[in-house]
Amino acid sequence: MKVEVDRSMCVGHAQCMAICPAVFGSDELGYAVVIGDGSVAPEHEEGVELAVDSCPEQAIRATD
Amino acid sequence: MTTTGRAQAFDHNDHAMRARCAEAYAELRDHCPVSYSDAWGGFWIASRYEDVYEVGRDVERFASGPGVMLPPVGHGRPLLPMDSDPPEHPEYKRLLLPRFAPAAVAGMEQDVRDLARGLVEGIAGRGEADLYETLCKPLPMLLITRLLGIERDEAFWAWTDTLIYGRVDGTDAGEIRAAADGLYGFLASQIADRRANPGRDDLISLLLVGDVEGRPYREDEILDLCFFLLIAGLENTAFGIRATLRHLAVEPAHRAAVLADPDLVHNLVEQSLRLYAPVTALCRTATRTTEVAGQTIGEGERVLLLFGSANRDPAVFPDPDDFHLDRRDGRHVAFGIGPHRCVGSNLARLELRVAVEELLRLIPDFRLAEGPDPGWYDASSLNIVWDAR
Repeated sequence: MKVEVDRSMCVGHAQCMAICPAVFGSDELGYAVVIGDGSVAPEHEEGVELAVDSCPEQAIRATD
Repeated sequence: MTTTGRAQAFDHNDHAMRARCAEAYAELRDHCPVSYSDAWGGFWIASRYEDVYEVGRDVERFASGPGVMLPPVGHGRPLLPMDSDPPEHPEYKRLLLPRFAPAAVAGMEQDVRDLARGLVEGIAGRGEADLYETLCKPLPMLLITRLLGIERDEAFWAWTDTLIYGRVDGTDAGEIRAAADGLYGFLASQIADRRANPGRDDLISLLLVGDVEGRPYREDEILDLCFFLLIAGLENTAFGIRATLRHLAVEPAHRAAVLADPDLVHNLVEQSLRLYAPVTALCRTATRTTEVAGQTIGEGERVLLLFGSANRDPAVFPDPDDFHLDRRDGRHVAFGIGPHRCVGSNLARLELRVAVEELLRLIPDFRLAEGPDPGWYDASSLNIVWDAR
């Protein structure tokens, strides 16, 4: 699985980083950043899916 | 089908409506998703999630500068950064957001916990308490005054009480005005104090170094930002804590589940925010004639974003009117949607969670006091009883 955050859509609800802190971090303003190169380890796939589902702005894209 | 519907007198502030909001919101979503109300001088209502999402995110078609509170607050000054548009709005947020970002808020957790613990310790031996007055209201007040670096005195409490808690319960307009004047005057003196004593770490001092595209903030901007930083997290946070604690009092199974699995507190907080959203609705003003869900909205007309209804839209949340402790449902819009997302959302979430944790730590088993259920929808007393040992 690969994941990316559309920075033009993120406004910093911070749900993703609360749900899956291994994959999502925060910049200084509180907007989401993907940690690493966007590859999701199998043990974090469930967390990423919940993060996608929990983003009010629909700013996270996960692809298999 | 979308029609030019008239919800006539729909009023999102009406407590009787809020008490039966599941039906009222469903009626709007199902029969007339963008309907019109004659209340408060007239406005359109976006009731479905997808329409709230569309309007809230589009700051070019829908402005906030004309004011987003409906009805407007009684004192005629803008609430910043909420009542602003580009270029000012992103600049206000650029200054404020680092102070409320997840890492900064995580650093406040111990402080918040100490405050909450002290409040709960104050009632733990009593066996009965009004949680609204002893925990829900004081926690955010203690916290925000600390962040602003201000001392509270008697007059300060009276002004905020009248202004924040009086707005929705019919306090006389002259009284509200006088309280606003008192509070603005107090804050102006605080700002003058920070100018004379620069270099402090509080939020008022932060505002003094703000700029909009290189232009320093004007005095009125500093005062309006300062005022809203103070009041934004008071009533709403108190309301949110109250609704969450009341839920635990009336749903012992949920209380037991959170005690057994403390991680469930996150779902508890999110479900509470979704179903009992403290900010039911805010509005936007169309910058040009446009359409939402096929409904024409005229230039200058207002559109209410009915967050409470979006949060109960079955298109997004299955069985939307039930409290799902096993679900997060983090897409709810209790903190708004789009660039105007509540600056303090991370802090508010922290306060809700810590209030629950600290109450349950000392008072794990409690119930509503005798009498009618006070409901989640009023900012009023929340009397509970428990076996104090």
